[in-house]
Amino acid sequence: MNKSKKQDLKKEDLPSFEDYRDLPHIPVSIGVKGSMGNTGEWRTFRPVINLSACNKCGFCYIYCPEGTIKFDKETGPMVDYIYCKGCGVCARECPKDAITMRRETEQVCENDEDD
Amino acid sequence: MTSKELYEITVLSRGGQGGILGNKLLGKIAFVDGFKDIIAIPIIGAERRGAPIRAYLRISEQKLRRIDAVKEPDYYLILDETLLSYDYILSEIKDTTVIINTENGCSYKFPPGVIAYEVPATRIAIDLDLEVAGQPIVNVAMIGAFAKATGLIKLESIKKVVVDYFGAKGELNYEASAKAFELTREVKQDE
Amino acid sequence: MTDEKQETLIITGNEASAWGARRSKAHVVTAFPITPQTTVMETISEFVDSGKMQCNFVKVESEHSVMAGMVGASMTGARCFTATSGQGLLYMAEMVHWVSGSRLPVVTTIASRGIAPPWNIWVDYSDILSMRDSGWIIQFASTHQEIFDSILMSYKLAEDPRVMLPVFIAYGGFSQSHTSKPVVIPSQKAVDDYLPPVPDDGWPHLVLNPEKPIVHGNLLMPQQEYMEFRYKMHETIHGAKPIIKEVIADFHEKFGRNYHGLIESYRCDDAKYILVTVGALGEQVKDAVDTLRSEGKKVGSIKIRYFRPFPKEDLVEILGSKNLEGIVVVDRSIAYGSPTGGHISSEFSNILSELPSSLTYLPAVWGLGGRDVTVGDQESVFNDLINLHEENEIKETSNSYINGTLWVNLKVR
Ligand code: SF4
Ligand code: SF4
Repeated sequence: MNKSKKQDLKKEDLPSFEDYRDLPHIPVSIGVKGSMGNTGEWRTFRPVINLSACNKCGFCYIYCPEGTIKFDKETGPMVDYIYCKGCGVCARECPKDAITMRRETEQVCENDEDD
Repeated sequence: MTSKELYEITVLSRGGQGGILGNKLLGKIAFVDGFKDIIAIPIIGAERRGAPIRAYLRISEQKLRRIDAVKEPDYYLILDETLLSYDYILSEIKDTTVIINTENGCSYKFPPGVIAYEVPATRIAIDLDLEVAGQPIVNVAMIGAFAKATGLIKLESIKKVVVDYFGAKGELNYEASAKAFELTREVKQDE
Repeated sequence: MTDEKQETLIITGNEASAWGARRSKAHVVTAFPITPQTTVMETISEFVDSGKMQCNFVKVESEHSVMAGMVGASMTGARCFTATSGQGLLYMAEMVHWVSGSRLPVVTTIASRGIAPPWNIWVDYSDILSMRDSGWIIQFASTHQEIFDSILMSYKLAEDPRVMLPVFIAYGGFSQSHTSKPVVIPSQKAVDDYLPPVPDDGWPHLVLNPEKPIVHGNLLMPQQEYMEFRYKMHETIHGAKPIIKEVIADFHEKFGRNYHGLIESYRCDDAKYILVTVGALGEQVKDAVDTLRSEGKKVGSIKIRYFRPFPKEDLVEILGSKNLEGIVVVDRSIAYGSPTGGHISSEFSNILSELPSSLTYLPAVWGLGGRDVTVGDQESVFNDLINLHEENEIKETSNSYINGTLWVNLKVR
């Protein structure tokens, strides 16, 4: 089950234009977290990191196309499930096979260490 | 100076002799001498050293709008006598004035109606050591000859422009043009 | 030559272009050589080397990078300049759209040349006209002075917050780029008084600032405003017409040289036959007009200065005259498979419905790939038009009338 809390940007918060004359010269985005909405809702599989197998190489952090993995040299990677869209790139790239993709319908613990 | 408003000149040279630069300098000199407008038109293609090169110049008392090639020039400035060995060049020369760089008398016959001047510009350049990469540069000397033959520009304007353009080498170039001015003479066609 | 006082220099069209960049105080110039543009960049590099021009002169590895460099540099709010020709312009085509789509006020001069194959390096406007729909303002400079002056005017136009669009200034390869003419170069102070520096805090719509990161060049989904942004650019480029006229009037007042507007007409008031063209041949054709006038033929000419925005209203105003019997529109470019064969004559057909239907309309093409077009050739085009109008056919001419278009001096047995 998706444990992410519904938060951040709602559709009403995004600028909407009724008239081309109200548009700026070009579309520009400012750096807002979750500018595509709560992409965590898209997930059917979720990455679960087994930290005991992890060597803290940081590949998953680098490869994640959505930038939803936080990385700390001491504690290792952490997935932000509000935005993780479940693409599986991190699991595929992990050299230690420390990330498994689990069905959303399965009850799992995040960063399940004794998997 | 005559009362004509527009003078058209064709400069014929070989790659490396300075014909294109000479054409532009002649335009600058005419402008300094009070002509209202000039256009120097180099015909540039895939030429290289030794290839026949052509450049056109219009100098005018009126604003010039034309950019097309000069077809019937008032003057030909020929930097190399051997260019006349090409039939297509020799045959275009009619009802005009030619100023030709030659040392021992021009060996080509022009049709009646052509006024010819000759000047030993190569000899002048060699005597003055006016060379670039071993080749005597005759362009400014030919401008001196043009001044003498046409009366359209003044020697002091040549000096002003070439000293401004060449810096240290300008004096030598000017000397060449002054010498050429002195040695330019009309060729009697029946000589 | 000093920066303190005005001087008249005998310079090539390319040198005039380089002087335009210098007097406009361009901050960034990206460079890649291509004939016949190369001496623009050579001249600027000499200016920079001798300390006479302060700019970032960036040598890159291709024309694509030339224009990509313009995108990056202009986004920081810098005044940006470059130049190219023919194949080089085609190679940078993708980035050309990035500049206009990002609404960056870059100015670029084009020493136009024929497109290969077969190789050709001489004047032919097919290169610049292939950028017809790129969202750039496209101007033709018909004299050396106009090349220089247009650069100053173009920055004023491009950087106007109501415009924010790049400008191409095209002129003939070799026929203008390498010929020399007197050009008045005003003092730096006079230019500074006319052309203010760029805003300190960048362009109104876009500025790169590491303190305030932005994402630009975003993906817009079909339901989002892609269509609106496109329409806005189209409206802006048309809306630039009065601003172009303001800029020209302002320049006239300051420097005393008048560039009239989007078009310049010559002896059109009572003209029965008018020739419309672009570039230096539009200047030269005035000599043909004068000659034919002295023979009693009522002719005039129009030089289209701005092709984008297309000066429809200005053309209709002059060509709607009751005296007019025939128009010939002549291209120095080829638009394969178009209604007439020429870019401008094809486009011009769109305004015929607003002109008297009795008019004879003759599209024509001349001087492709630098083929010389003499004043005599230009007279022959007028005579062919008169012939076509009066006799309904074109007789005794060196030009070929094929499928409704006149091909000047086309070799036909
Ligand atoms: S599944 Fe995809 S989005 Fe989620 S953390 Fe892994 S790489 Fe990132
Ligand atoms: S890629 Fe695998 S091993 Fe490397 S930090 Fe991520 S989870 Fe750990």
